[in-house]
Amino acid sequence: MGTRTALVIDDEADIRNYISSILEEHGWTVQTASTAEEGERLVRENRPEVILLDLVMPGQGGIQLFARLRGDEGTSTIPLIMVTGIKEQLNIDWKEIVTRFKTRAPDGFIEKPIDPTRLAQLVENVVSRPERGLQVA
Amino acid sequence: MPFFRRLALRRKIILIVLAILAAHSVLGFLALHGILGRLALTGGPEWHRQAAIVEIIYLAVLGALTGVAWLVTRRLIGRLTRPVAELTHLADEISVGNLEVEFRFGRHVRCWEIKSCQEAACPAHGSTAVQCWYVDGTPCKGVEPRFPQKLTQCRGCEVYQAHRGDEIVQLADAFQHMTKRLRDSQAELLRAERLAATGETVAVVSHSIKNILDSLMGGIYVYRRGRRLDDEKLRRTGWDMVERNLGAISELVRNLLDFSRVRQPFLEPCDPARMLAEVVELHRERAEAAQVDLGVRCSDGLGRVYVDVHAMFHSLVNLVSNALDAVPPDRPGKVELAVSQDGDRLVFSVSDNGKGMSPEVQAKLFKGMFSTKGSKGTGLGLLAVQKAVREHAGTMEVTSEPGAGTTFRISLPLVTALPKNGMLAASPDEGQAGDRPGGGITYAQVPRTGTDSQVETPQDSPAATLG
Repeated sequence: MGTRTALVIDDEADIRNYISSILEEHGWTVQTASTAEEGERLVRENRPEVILLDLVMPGQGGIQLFARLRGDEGTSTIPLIMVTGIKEQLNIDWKEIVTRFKTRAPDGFIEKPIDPTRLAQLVENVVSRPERGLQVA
Repeated sequence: MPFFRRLALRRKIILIVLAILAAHSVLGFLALHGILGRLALTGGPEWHRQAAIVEIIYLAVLGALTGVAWLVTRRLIGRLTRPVAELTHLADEISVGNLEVEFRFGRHVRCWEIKSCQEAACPAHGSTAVQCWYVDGTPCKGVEPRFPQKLTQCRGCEVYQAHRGDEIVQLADAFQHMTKRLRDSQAELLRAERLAATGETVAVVSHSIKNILDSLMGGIYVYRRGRRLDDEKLRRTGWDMVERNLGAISELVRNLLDFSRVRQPFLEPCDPARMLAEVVELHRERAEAAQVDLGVRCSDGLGRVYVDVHAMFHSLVNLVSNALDAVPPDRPGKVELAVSQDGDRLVFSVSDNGKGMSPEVQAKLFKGMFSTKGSKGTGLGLLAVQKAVREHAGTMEVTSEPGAGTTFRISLPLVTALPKNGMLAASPDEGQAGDRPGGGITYAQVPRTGTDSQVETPQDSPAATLG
């Protein structure tokens, strides 16, 4: 269990700390990135088992990074969970995004405020059964 | 009889009368001239003189009668065309945006007087300007309460007829109704805009509170985990998260209050250099942690000035906080606060060598709640600064270059003696500026010259006024 690695990409240090702490509590080794660029580099270098990506970030936002990771054969199969603070963002037209970027939707969503138990459960579900499609915590 | 037919008939009658009068006058003059000529042949020179006098008197009377006829005609035509001219004038007023116009022509009757109506609930009751047919949704003896149908049916109403039941009054009624609808629509649009702005504010603030709460919960979670694992580092991290986010929520509430409160600046004596030093002191720890060189530059000889200390202190706190956020961690950061006197102005500035902003981003800065900090920001802080500056009858400029940095420059009227009531006169454009975000704010994209801490604004810089 201790070798499982997760990558948390969020511009807010406190949220990175919070999510990292929850995942570490459940046996994950966590890496963090504060920007989309840094996150992309870490994904390619370390190929984590799961990525938790903030939807709203300054500069290159979460959606652009999501599209790039999904569009690349080397990273497209890594389970990816979107973290969002706005409920309405769950209603983003993923069909349109998926069509536009010719890719598949994220594997999971979690809305802030983050419930530690639900987050841990979601990560387990997404990693163990990615074929279930979009999962929301 | 309808107005235009009556107008046409009157013009015809007047023209015929004038033509008969003219023909009669010419014939009469010729007949008189003939009679007098014959008499003069038999009467000698004395008769000649008297005939000439009679002809002159006749021509004078004829001239006077023609003049009177012309004046009467002109007056009659004027009375008939004046309402049209008035309507044209009112239409011009409306076209330039003045909707507070009212058509007042003809005999103004009041239905509540003619019908002795005591229905105080009727919008037309007691009104000197409104008849019931102007008002949608006011049933009058079962008349359909929609304006067009109502107007059609009201033409049979005794009050309407007393008011003058011709086309010009009907046109005026339609005109009056149209302007009322325009006024109502404009008010409705304003309400909708305010509601939308409130909705946007609530959404952004809620989102921000949610983020802060999440980080607070995170802090508590991390602290507890540290306690459980007896890990001092985790406990410290968790506690720092709690402290930081309590500060963030307190800052959010303060900005919200500053932004929403309508107030006049309360001027107090202040040493600007000391105020800047306090702002720096408040951010010293954060700047050191981020390895940012935070400094102050004050002009010599700047004595005691009067400003709203609370508002300006928090404005500078907001700008310095933004500047620290703008400095990327991958290079030596520099943030400088400065204060100086420029003629009769007191000028504060906050400069950083951070990420800078593109012209597109700058254009969005003061248009509603916009932040370059993603989920970390609300844009509320800058709006609160803008409001404080406006309350001081001051101006704010931002110069920025992507990758090089940003300077916010606040220019206030220099007040060295306390006004009698301790308050500043409102900014001349405050009324307008208060209605539109960005009012009174100018920005310019200017290449940085000189050192990092000194920003020069070339005379030919492409400055523009926002809003």
